Amino acid sequence: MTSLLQKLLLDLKRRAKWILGELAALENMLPGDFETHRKDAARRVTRAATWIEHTLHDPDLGDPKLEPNFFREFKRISELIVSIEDTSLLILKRCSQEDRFLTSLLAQICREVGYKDTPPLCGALSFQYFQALMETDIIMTPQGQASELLALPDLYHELAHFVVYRERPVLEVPVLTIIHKYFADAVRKGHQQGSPQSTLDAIAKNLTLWTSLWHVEFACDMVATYWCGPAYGLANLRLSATRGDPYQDSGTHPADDARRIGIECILKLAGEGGAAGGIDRMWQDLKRLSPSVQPGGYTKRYPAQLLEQVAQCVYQGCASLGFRRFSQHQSGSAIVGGAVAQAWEAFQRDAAAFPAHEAAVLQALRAKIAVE
Amino acid sequence: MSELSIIAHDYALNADYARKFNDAVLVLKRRYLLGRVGNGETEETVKQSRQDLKALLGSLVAAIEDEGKPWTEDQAQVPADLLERLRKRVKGALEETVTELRGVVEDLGKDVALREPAFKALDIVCEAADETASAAFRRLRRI
Repeated sequence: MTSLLQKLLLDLKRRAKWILGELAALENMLPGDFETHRKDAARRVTRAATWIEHTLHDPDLGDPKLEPNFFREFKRISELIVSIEDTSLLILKRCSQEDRFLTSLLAQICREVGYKDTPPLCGALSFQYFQALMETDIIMTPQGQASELLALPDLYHELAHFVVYRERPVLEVPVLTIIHKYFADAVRKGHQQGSPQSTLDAIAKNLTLWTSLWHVEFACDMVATYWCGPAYGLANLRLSATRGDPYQDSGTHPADDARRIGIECILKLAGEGGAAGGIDRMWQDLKRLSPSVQPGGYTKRYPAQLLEQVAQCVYQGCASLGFRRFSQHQSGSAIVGGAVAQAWEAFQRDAAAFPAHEAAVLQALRAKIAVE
Repeated sequence: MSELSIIAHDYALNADYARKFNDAVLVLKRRYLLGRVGNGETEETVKQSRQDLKALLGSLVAAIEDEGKPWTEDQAQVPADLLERLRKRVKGALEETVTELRGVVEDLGKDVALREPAFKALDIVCEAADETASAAFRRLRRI
């Protein structure tokens, strides 16, 4: 009799076969970057289908001692198939003019910053601002992204998510070590000074927030600033202006104001103290317009000293990985990096005249970056 | 930038750990509980799985025992979600579970066969890792 797991595997096999058929139908119809992604997706689904077939013929599949482990493997494979259907197949089938332009743009950014892996595919299909989808090597952007320059630094942040994940031993792990040490020292000092339990609990909560997900966001901001320079800080300010309270945080994201400090730390390390000061002044102006109150315990939650240590670590990590800092781009070679920096300069100089500048630059970018 | 990017990061990390851990346990269960290698596996696969599991489990045990000790880079290899879930899952039996898992790490290093109690403890980790990966995937896909 066919077991439930066998039935689930047969169902997954059918779905994998369907996706492979859809991917095969797109062969020789896509531009270069899309074809590379199509081939990679087909390779991964083929590997998954092979595993399913192999497992269906495993004589121990129904053994009660092993069956739960086979089921867990089935779940990971099922997640892969769903992800490829939901993202890769969606973008490959659409392959719009905007998707092609953004993918070429991202590939150019990758060349400029020294990103070593195959550039992710880009689709202007997001319903939630920018999204980096590591498992399928895709970045989703807002629908209008192909027609604007000021938010382009956020694409660097999304690319940084791939780097922070894939270069975990060089970036994420040392950052985590610094964070743990910092808060362990805070606990030790708290004990020495006879701090109340509530203070020690607050330190423990801050440690959890930092080490769960915040460290990733801080690190991605810092890598993006390393690559993109002051323009990233300015884009961050622009985004923060639309999000309300700069001191508000969540389980996934630290406060925008704290992220600003992290960005400024990298700019200072790169010798751009003047630019950091300029961004800081704009932040003071933003806070004047939106007078939010810094909540109690804020400076202990976001210690400047810890942000400086993390920035130092990320900065060194970027250098050791051979990434090019924004100021290291050779004149004329940073087509996108240069356009982004100039766009922000033009916007600050004359915001009213900026749309004309933006349209001209985008047209030039489309011409320079061959969009097949 | 959006919540989805950070959840995607979390999912990738948790799924990778869950998959590697479960793969190694599956090979070793077949070898030591069923007394055979099979379906394309060899003694070399078993040896590699022992090494992989020792590294994964060693980091996990170090991370779960961290209280009061200096944090090491090795501990940071383990997803924070997994540690939290594992602590909740074993609750009052944390000490016994950690002792059992520490024993498994030692056995893996000594090249001795793993027995039923070892796999019971390993399955607790497999289940917790699977739950964290599945939970992250559901958050990612909003399902």
